[in-house]
Amino acid sequence: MQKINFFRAMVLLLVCGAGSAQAALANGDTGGFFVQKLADGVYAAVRTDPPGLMVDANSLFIVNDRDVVVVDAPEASTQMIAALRNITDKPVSYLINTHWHDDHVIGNSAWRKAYPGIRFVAHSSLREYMAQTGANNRKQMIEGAPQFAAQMQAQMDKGKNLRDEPINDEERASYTSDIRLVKHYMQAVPGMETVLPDIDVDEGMTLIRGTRRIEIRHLGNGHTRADLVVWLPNERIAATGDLVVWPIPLVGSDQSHVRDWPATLDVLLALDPAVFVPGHGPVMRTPDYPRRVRALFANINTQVAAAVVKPASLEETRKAVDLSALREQFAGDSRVRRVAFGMYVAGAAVESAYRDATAKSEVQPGE
Amino acid sequence: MIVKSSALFIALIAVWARPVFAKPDPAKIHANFHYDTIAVAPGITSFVEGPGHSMVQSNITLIVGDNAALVIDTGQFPAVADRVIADIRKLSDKPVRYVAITHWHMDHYMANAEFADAFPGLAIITQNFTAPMMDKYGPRYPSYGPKIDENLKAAREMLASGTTPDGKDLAPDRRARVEAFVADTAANKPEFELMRYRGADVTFENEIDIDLGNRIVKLLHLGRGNTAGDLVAYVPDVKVLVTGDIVVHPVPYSYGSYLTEWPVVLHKLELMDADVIVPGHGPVMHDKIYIGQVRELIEGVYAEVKRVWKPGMSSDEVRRIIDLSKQRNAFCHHDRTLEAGFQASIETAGVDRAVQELEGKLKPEAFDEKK
Repeated sequence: MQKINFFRAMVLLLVCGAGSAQAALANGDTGGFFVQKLADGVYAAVRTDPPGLMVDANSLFIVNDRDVVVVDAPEASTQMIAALRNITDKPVSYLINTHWHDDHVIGNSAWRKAYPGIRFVAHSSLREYMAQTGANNRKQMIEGAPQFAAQMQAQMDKGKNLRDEPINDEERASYTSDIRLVKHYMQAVPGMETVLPDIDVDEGMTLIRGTRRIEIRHLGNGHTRADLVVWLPNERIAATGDLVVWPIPLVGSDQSHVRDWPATLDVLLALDPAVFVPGHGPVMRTPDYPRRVRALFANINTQVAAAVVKPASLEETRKAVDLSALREQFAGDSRVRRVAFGMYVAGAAVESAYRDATAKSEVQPGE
Repeated sequence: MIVKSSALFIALIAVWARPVFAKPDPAKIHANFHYDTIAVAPGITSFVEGPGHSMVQSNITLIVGDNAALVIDTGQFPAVADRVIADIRKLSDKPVRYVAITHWHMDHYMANAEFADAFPGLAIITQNFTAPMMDKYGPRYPSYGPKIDENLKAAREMLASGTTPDGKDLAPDRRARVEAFVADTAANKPEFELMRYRGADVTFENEIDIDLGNRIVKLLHLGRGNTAGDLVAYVPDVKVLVTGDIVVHPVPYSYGSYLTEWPVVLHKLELMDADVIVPGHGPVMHDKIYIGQVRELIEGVYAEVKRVWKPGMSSDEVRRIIDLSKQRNAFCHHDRTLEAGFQASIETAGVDRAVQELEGKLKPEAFDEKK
């Protein structure tokens, strides 16, 4: 029981985000990301943190003839602004928040400060979320995060992991990263100003920059119902937000829509991107991983739909769903990934699929 | 003759136009173009074109929030836009950060560059259909300026010969109207020399909402109507609706329009919670009566064409049989100027579109420079 509560809280931790730009700067930290050129004028800022329970997000810089368009405002935004200024002195005119979680929006105020002419674009549901659920989550995160970081540190000091087993190198690296990100979060986020969008979209919009087109699109529900994808049709680059997260998909039991997720990824895959910039994880040049994520959720939906044909509780459904092969595929022998898979997939994703399968009269299997 | 040779955005009514002014002052470019400045609601001002000009330009509406301002349509005359921009600066110190263009007809956006220069970094927003249509026709439009003289040739010949195209003597009252038309049209020429095309840089399909700071402006596409890319703006806090040319007073424009779908859009407008309606052309309205009248007109025109049309029948054949006198009288009340506009927009272009729909062969929207 103790463990389940702990893991639930950590799900919350993760979706709330982590890390502080200012703190990182003070530490002489370069921000925990590197800049990767994807095409002429298109650069990804990719996180270097090892997989863990705490994350900060990737970002994308699209440098146009006269301005710059940025995707997502992670907590390392101050360092990202510095990195962008090394590339160009053109002003940032738009920043797209791919959804409402803090690791994708908390840097908005830093970007506005650096570029007063900036406009923020987000899905129309973000405005309400930020004021209510988002504010509550941030409060809980601020209250709970230091305690979890302390617990991790204590376990590490004892040479143990969170399951009280002897800790391995992978876990140690992961916990160390998590603790650093929590520390940064605590130094930056309390009192941080929430910057709401200037432009709210339901389906999306297109920015025309000379011959370049920047399509901002809501392809459907998935990680949240606010998911936006930024698609460059000429360069065939897709910034997916947390619709695609590596190495383990990121799912919130009460915010994600596992039932809809495969169809949303189908729309994304139908665009036939040459490059995927995931919300977290490395830049991908093949659709293999997004396809695997799609298959994972479709599998869960099928199994959950079969389980609830005869009324079943969530616990009964969990027992009926067999994810061992998929866990092997996504996590292998990695303890850190198996823990994440247990939380986000076996835990949250099954719960999300169960909720949608039982709440609606028409049960939609994953396929 | 003049009716046939006039372009889409020259009010074809010119021969019947009342003399609004005697002679333009060539020293001041288009200083004679009149617009009224109307306080529509707190923070919202419309610049409403005056009546009787031989070339129309759209109404322009300013919407100011706590942080920024948005302008709906920029008109087509750069020199007039400069005056509007000076007025805007007097009305508000908030930067115009957004311009929304209601559709691709050139009288709504050929002054974009003036606004973009005055307010650096502003975003120009249209519905998805509109942006490429603007790109297609906007850059060519300034070259229309020199054609003004060509288009005035018939009128000038009429004045020189003292004879109408059908061989009758030019009556003194008609001569005065033609003279005024020639003078007013010629006064537009320098504006074309000032025009610099500037297209859209933000597009959307059905809706985006702009936060100007304690004021949301909803930019909506409610379906095909006057064009396939019609944009309307709605400001919920003061219930102001800016319609573009979905609603035009006193005679609706129906060039390249969608007669069966337009009434659906108009009905959506009628259902909106709006206290003030700013049409694309014409005065600010405080009720939806006129919107209903436009809907009935479009429904009525289509129904009448449908009543008589048989497969293989041309638009001209249809025009010989149909009876739109009820609609004509409702909108023109026997005013010959309005009747000329009604004939061009509704009885010619509108009936053409109705026949195309009945044939199942709607032509792509176009600006026919030869017409």
